[in-house]
Amino acid sequence: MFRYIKLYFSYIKQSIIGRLEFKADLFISIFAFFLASASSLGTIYLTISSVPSLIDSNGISWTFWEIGLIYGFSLIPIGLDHLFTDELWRVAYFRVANGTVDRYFLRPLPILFQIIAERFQFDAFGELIVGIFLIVICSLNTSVCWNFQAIFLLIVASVFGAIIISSLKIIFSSLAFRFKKSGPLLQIVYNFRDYSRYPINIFPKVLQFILCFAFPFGLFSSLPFEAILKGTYNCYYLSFIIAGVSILFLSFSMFIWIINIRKYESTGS
Amino acid sequence: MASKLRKYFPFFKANMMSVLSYRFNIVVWIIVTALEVMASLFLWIAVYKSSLEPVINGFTMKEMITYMVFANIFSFTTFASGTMESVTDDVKEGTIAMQITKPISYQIRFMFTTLGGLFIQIFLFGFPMYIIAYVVFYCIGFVSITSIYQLLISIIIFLLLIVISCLTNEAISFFTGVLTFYTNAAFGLNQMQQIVIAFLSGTAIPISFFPGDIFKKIVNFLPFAGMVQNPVLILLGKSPYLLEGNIIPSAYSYLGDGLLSFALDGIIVVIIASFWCVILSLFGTILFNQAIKKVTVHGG
Repeated sequence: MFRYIKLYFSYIKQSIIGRLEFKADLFISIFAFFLASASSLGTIYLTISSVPSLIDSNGISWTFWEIGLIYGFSLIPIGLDHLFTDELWRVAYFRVANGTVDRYFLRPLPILFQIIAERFQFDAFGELIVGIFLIVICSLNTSVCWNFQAIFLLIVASVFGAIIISSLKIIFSSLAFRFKKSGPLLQIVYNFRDYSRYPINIFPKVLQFILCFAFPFGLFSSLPFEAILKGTYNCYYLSFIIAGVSILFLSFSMFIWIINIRKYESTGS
Repeated sequence: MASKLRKYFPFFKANMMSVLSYRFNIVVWIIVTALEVMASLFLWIAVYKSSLEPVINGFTMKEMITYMVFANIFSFTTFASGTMESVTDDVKEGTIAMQITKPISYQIRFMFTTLGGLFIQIFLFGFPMYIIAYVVFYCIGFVSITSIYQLLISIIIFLLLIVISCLTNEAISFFTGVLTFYTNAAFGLNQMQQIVIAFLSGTAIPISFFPGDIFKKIVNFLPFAGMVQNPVLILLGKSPYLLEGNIIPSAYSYLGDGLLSFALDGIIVVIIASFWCVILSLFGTILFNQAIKKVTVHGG
C-alpha cells in the first residue's frame, strides 16, 4: 500500500514539472472557468430574481443564495474527482484507439493506478477555488448554522461524492477497452453533473430517482443542503447513505473495469 | 463579381465535407446540450410556478420554454466558426507569411470556410430540429401563428438572420484570431469569447431579464443581441422591440398591431444585424492589415 503512495507522488512530481512549463495557460484556463461559473450563476440569478423565492414541488422554498450554496458545493466533489482521474477522459476518447495504453499492460502495476497517477490535473484547482469562494459568499447570506453534523455531512458528501463520480468515469471509460472508444458515452453521463447544481426537487420524480441512485449527482450535492438548510433529512443518516452508495458504486466500477480490461485486444502501436 | 468569388468556393466545399465527417460527434453534443437545456427548462417551470404573475419580463411560461429551446438550437447550429483556431495555428506555426502572399483575401477565405460548415450544420441538423420543434410546440399550443403571411415573413427574415448572425460570429472570431498576432494567448481566449457571446446574445436568458434599464439598453445596442435573441423572437412571431429595455421604438407604437408592424420590426432587425456584421468585419480587416505590416517590417 505504501509503495503505491510513494509511487503516486513520483508520478505527481512529473506532472507538476511538466505543467509549470505552461503557467500562463493554467491561469487562463482557471480564469475562463471562473468566467463560465460567473455566467452560469448570473443566469440563475437573473432567472430567479423575478420571484421572491423559488418554490419547488415539495413546497420547500429556496432563495438564490441557497441555490448558490448548492452550486458552489457541487464544484467540490467535481473538482476533487477532476484532480485525480482526468486521464480517464483521454483513455476513453483516443488512447485506447491509438494504442498508447499498451505500455500500461507491460508494467508491473495495476492499470487503473497507472492511469490515475499519470496526470494530476491542476486546472481542477479552479473548480475547488470557485466552489469554496461561492460557499463562503453564499453562506453569509443564508441562515445556515455550521454545526458539527453539517460539517461532517459536507465532508462525507465531498469525498464520497468524488468517489461516486470517479466510479462512474471508471465504468464508462473501461468500456473503451472493449469497444475502442467510449468518450461520447462518458461525456453524456458526465454531463448529468449539470443537474447537481440545482435543488433536485424542481425535477420530476423520475428524474429525481435517477439523480439519486442511477447517476447519483443529486445525492451528494442537493440532498445534503436540504438536510442542512431545511432539515428534511437527518445529517448522519444521509452521510451513511451517501457513503454506502459510494462504496457500492466503487465496488461495481472495479468489477466492470476488471471485466473490460480482460477483454482488451491491442490495436497495435 | 461571381467569378471573383468563385475562387473561394473550394474552401466552402472543403469545410462542408470536413464538418460532415464529424456528424457523429455533433449528435453527441446535441444530446449533451439537450440535457443542459432540459435542466434550465425545469428551473424556469419552477420559477413560473412560484411566480404570482403569469408574464415575467414580457414572456409567459410557454413563450419562455419555446424561446429557450429555439435559442439553443439556433446557437448550436449557427455558430460554425473555427476561424480563430485556424488563424492562431497559422500565427504559431509561421505559415501566416505564406497565406499572405496568396492572391486571395485571407479574411474572405475564412468566411467561405465557415459558411461551408454552416451549410451542413443547418441542413443536416438545424432544419430537422427547427421543424420538429416547431411542429411539436405548435401542436401543444405553445406557439401560435396569427396568419400564414406572418409565418412566411418570420421564416424569410429568420433565414436571412441565420447567415448574417453566422458571419457576425465569424467576424468576431477572425478579429480574435488576428489579435494573437499581438498577444500570445489562444485557447482560453476562445473559451471566454464563446462564454461572453452566449451570455450577451440572449442564449442563456432573454435580455429583458438583465438588471437595470441602462444595462439592458447597452446590451441591446451591442451586436450580440441580434445574433441569437432577435432572430429567434422573429421566428416565434414576437417583435424584440416590444420588450423592455429597447433602444428602438417598435413599429407597433406607430402603426398599431398588425402584420405590417411585425414585418417592419423584422426588417429593422435585419438592417441592424447587417450593420454590425459589416462593421465588425471591417474591424477585422483593418486589424489584419496592420498586423501584416508588422510582419513584413520585421521580415517574413
